[in-house]
Amino acid sequence: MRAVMGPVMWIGVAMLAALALAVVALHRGESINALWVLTAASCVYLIGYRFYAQFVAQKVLAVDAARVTPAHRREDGLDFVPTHGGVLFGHHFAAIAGAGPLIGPVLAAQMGYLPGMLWLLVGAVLGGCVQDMAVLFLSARRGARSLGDMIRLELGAGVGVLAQIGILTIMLMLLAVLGLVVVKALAHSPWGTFTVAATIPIALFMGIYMRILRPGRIGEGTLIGLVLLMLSIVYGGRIAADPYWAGVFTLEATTLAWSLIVYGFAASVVPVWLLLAPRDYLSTFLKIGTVLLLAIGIIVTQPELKMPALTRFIDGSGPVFAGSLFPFLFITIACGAVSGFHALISSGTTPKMLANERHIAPIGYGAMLCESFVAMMALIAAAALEPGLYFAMNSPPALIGTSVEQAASTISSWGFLITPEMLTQTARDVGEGTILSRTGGAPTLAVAMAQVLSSFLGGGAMMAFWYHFAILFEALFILTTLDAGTRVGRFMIQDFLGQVSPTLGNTRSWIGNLVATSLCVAGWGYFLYQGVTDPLGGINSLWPLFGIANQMLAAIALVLVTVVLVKMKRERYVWVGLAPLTWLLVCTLSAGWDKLFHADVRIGFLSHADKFKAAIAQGELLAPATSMAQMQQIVLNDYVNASLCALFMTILVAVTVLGLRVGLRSLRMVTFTAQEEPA
Amino acid sequence: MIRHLLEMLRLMVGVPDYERYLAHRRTHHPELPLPTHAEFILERQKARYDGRSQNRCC
Repeated sequence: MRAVMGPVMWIGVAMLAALALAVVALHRGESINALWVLTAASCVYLIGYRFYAQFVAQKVLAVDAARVTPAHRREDGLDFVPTHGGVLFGHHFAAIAGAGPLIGPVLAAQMGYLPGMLWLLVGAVLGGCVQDMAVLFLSARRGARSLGDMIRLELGAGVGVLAQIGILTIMLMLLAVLGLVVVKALAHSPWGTFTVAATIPIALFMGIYMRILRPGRIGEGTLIGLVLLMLSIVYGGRIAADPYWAGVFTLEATTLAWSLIVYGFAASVVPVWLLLAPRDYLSTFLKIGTVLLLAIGIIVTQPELKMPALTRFIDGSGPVFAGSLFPFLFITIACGAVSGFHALISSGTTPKMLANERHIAPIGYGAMLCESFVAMMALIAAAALEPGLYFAMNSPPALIGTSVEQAASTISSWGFLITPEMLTQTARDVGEGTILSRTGGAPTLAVAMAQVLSSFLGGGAMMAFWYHFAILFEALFILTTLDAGTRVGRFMIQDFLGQVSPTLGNTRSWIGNLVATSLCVAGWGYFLYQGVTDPLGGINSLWPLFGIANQMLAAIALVLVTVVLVKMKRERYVWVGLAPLTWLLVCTLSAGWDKLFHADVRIGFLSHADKFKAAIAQGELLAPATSMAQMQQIVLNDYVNASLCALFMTILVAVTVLGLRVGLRSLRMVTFTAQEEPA
Repeated sequence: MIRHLLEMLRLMVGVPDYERYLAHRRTHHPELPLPTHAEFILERQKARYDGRSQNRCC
């Protein structure tokens, strides 16, 4: 009976997927219900997991349930602990899911919901999930080594150093772009700034509670912190309404950027139990809770998608980020489709706790499917907004002006009807002074979440609460990442410094610690400040650089996977790694090339620098620069960005060429040459 | 079920099972004194955020 029912059920799922996809793709009306997108996505994910994940696990990787994993071999009760599959799945999902899958799809929605949706589905099922699962497998077979170590081991020391430089730069770009998202969300928002600032004393109190008042009681401490956090959101509304305190918490973007830089430095040198750990507890549980809430909200309310399937901005003229559908969509959405960062997580703590190789598919492939689903939720939420509102929030002032009248008339002239009254009313609903040019994705998602959540929890009166709840959730998460990421960056920098001076490389040395922390903060701080003062709004230049870096790392991880498949003598399945690798190479290198040399000043860094240089030669000032020194700074920023972009492309090409040479050499071998730990 | 859920919540913030660690210590290092629960938590916090481990994503 089961033998018959199985295939029948899967044929049904496949037919439902085809139907839902056809409806979504061919629909040409005013709006379409989110349920169709959800149905199509769920069916595609189910089919991907049931067939492709099992194929890759059984045939390509040949996972072996009888093999002893590092968790058993090196069990120490702390890091190496054989863990229940479901429990480890939760741990792994919490580690990979962050702000990225919530922001990229929101930015990509300017091209319509269809391109982003299809890339999330195809990218995850054939690329991202395979990468995560394969790296987890490789690490589990190599004593739970990190990605960098495995690259050194399998591809050689030179490739290892290149990959290490790549990992450090992507870290700095990530921190800068996340910092920019927070600054853009909090600028001129006393309510948001107050609640985010309040998380610092709350975390300090929790830290002291869990260390001194009730040592070790992290559950209690976290619950108290969460209650205080909710109170701070409510109280933030009073602050924003108070004439004096509203002024104190109304900050310029540049002030906020400097505050973040100073804070990032200070936070990463204080003891972890005092600030970082308690804030991490808050942000982790808030993140999981919010993601679940968003999913439930969208399933319950089934909003209509008002954004067209495709907009005119697929031609590259979009106000959110410039650049045409190919290649820019594929680097704008990294997290949720393919994210190189996951290769670091899949070779981090998860393989140390893997109890059995049977769990590799559900954890590696399955958790990434869940992240893709989260990204789909963010896309749906953004597409459910009134398109005119979406563009008002995400276009820089240079394009839409600074008054609601100008913005409404410009955006309506693009074909997305919106009135000044609607813009003012929405700002009032969410308790903000203005919602114009709140770029960076987080405020858009917050408005979208506020609409979804208030429609079934609390009604219109709760809009402002839910908006600031969503902003707080993003900001809290990002602050934790800035702090933890600065520590990771410092450690990597000390690794490099140690090769020059052993004192600076010593992680217990105060001098080495301070020098490396300063370098790391200066690294991301430079890009953050540049983004905040950027004439084109910052996201336009930083998000593509971050996307290129992330996809570069994904390609490096896939080079490793591809070469190891050859070394394992599984050549006939080499396309499992090679196909997504080729696609990433094509996208990342063409996007990099465009960012360097494109004639449009909104896309190419060099043509933008030329424009400003020409103006300097004429003695003219171009907005937003107000002095020649600022003009020079903009030119310098362009050259720095162009160099960084060229560096990413060079690393990518070098790793690919050197890696594939190792692969070709192994192809001629007749025996298994991968460096696995003996079974 | 509840036990696994609690274990998962703790593991999400990098804290493994204390009792299991004690059991491990008793079997493998019976001569050493056992850490208190608070000491164990502090050690885990330091290990999670020492900068060596990449345990969060974009």
